[in-house]
Amino acid sequence: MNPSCRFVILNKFDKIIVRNLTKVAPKKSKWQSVVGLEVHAQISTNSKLFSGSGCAFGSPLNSSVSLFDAAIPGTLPVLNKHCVELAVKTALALNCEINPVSMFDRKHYFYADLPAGYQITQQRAPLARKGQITYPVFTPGVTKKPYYKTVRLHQLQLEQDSGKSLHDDLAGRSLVDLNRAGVPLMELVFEPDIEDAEEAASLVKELALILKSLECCSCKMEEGALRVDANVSLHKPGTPLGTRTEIKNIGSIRNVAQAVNYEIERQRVLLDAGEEIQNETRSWDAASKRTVAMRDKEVQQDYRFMPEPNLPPLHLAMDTASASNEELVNVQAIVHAMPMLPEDKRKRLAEMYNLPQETLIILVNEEVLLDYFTQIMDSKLEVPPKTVANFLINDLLTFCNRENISVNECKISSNQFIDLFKLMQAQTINLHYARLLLNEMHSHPDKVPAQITKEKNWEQINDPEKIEELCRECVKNNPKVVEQFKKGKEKLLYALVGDVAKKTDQRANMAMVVEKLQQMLKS
Amino acid sequence: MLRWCYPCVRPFREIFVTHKQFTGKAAKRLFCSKDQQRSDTALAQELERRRTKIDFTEIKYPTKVPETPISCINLDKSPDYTPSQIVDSQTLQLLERLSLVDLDSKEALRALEDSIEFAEKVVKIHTGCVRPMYTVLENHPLKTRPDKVTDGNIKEDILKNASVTEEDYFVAPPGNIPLETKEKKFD
Repeated sequence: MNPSCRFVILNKFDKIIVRNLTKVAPKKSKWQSVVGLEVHAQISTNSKLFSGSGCAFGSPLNSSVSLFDAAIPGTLPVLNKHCVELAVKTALALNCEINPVSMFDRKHYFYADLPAGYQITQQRAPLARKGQITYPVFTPGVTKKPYYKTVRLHQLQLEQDSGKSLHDDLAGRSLVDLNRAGVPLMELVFEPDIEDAEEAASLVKELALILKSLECCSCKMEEGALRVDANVSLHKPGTPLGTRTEIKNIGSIRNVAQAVNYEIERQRVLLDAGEEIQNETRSWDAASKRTVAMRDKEVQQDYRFMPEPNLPPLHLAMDTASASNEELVNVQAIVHAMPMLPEDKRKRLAEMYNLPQETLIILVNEEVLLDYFTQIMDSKLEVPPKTVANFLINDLLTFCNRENISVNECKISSNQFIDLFKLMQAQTINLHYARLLLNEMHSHPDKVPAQITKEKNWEQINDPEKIEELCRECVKNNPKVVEQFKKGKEKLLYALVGDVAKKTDQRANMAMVVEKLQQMLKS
Repeated sequence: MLRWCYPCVRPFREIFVTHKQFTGKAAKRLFCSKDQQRSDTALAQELERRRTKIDFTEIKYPTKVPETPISCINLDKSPDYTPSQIVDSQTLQLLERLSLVDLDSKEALRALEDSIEFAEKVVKIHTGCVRPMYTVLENHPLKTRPDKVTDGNIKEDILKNASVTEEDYFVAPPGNIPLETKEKKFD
């Protein structure tokens, strides 16, 4: 097959892939997809893994670089103790077997942003092995019902990051910034236990939540603090795994799902057409929503792994006997200081407030929502937890989406929320105005909701006499509707209610209006 | 890094002074304090002697590394000699791409093949029941340091090594571009 012919065929496949992806329910296929994730998480520390230079994001070019980071001969690595502590913490949270003695290796490859020509990593004896994570799979609007999935973790290792290259294709050169060279990373290699894109995205989401609650990683994917590579292959059930491709350059959790989905569909179309899958690295292009083949790696690279001669084995204090050695990282102390993990939070919320699973998952997924929720509940209001949770999940999130801000950027204080629920509880405002209040509270974080309500004249009309007057007027103005209602079209009651709502700018107490109207029309 | 006082071949541990009487490159060299007492002419003679011939018996830690490269290629075996390790052109291209080293002559290719053949001996040693030792410091726990920023902010020093820079970036040739994949033909 000549190259140009191949190009045409791929274009044809592209159309099929896109068509299949846009279908609401993809047709059942004989192919089973298998996905394995490799996650690189930047460890939140002040200084680098083996040198004393800083790792703040966005520092001036080549400023956070020491002689060691630039691989100047004669410099030696000294391990940052805090990196080990945070990696052990993560390993414990992911139920790993922790190696009392782990070792460092050199992985060699030549690239301009790797000054030493090798990366210090852990290959033979990583810090931890054989972990496992159980997490809920639920994406509102995509998955119907939440379910739990367990994925095994193959290993967790410490390693250095490389520098950053900017490719100037026009001038045919690369610009290299070494600020990131030597920044501490945890590499988490998961077993290929995942079956589809949503499971992959949910795993990354849960992992990010865990790492954030452990304060191990900022998990800002846009800053590259959490990088996900996905290995995707297709096979027929009961047969060995198929040839896999690796997707790199995935920039967000939603992109994980999109990239894996695209790749599964791409492979399915190729396999159905009798083509073979190439073992290659593909890059996710978020703009065109496609994976494209990357140029390197036609042949399996030989990384020439060798033991790092400058670093003796890393020993951990596993029991109280060895814990007296101040030099060693004390695993028991870390076990005792473990914070609450997302799954613990969900369980606790479920026990305390009896919320449905979907609600629990969304609340715990958004740290800010959970903070609002717990603070509102702690204020001992007599509002049902479900009402509070639903208002936060539905109305606050809708508001944030409409304003195009993330929930973290929402300026509303929890005290304002408590006041808002007090107003709703006291029937001073209704849901419609509560929603409008969100906007006001966001733009005036210093104002009390009660004050805003008063100023804007948003208070609910609860006065029975006033309601009666409104209803009487409404009945008078709509004789035809009333006539039809009396003939038996009872649904038309809501037309009248709507009329009252419209007249009062939705301020009338609707429950009272409905009751009053029924009373008036039936008499 | 250990340096040597050039005239008296002693490790550099004492207080150093610059011998101003030497001009040119020699003036930049550092000498240990002991040499200050010598007369300048004696020093110059000594320096000249060392430059021409290093007396290995006087060096505290003599090196066994030969001063000039010794070729292990036995070119006498040619023209019909074929090495037992043959690197095909595809592997050669891969090696060149990985190492960014251009193998430019028939001799270089022969040296590569002979080197592989030489190293092959290692494979024949039976090591099945030997626990590998990775470092002599295996029983010494790795020392760690507290997580404090104590280094960096030496941009000028770091960039000093680069021949081309741009707005504080290092400038490098583009990566990931396949090198020429033409068949190599040595005359």
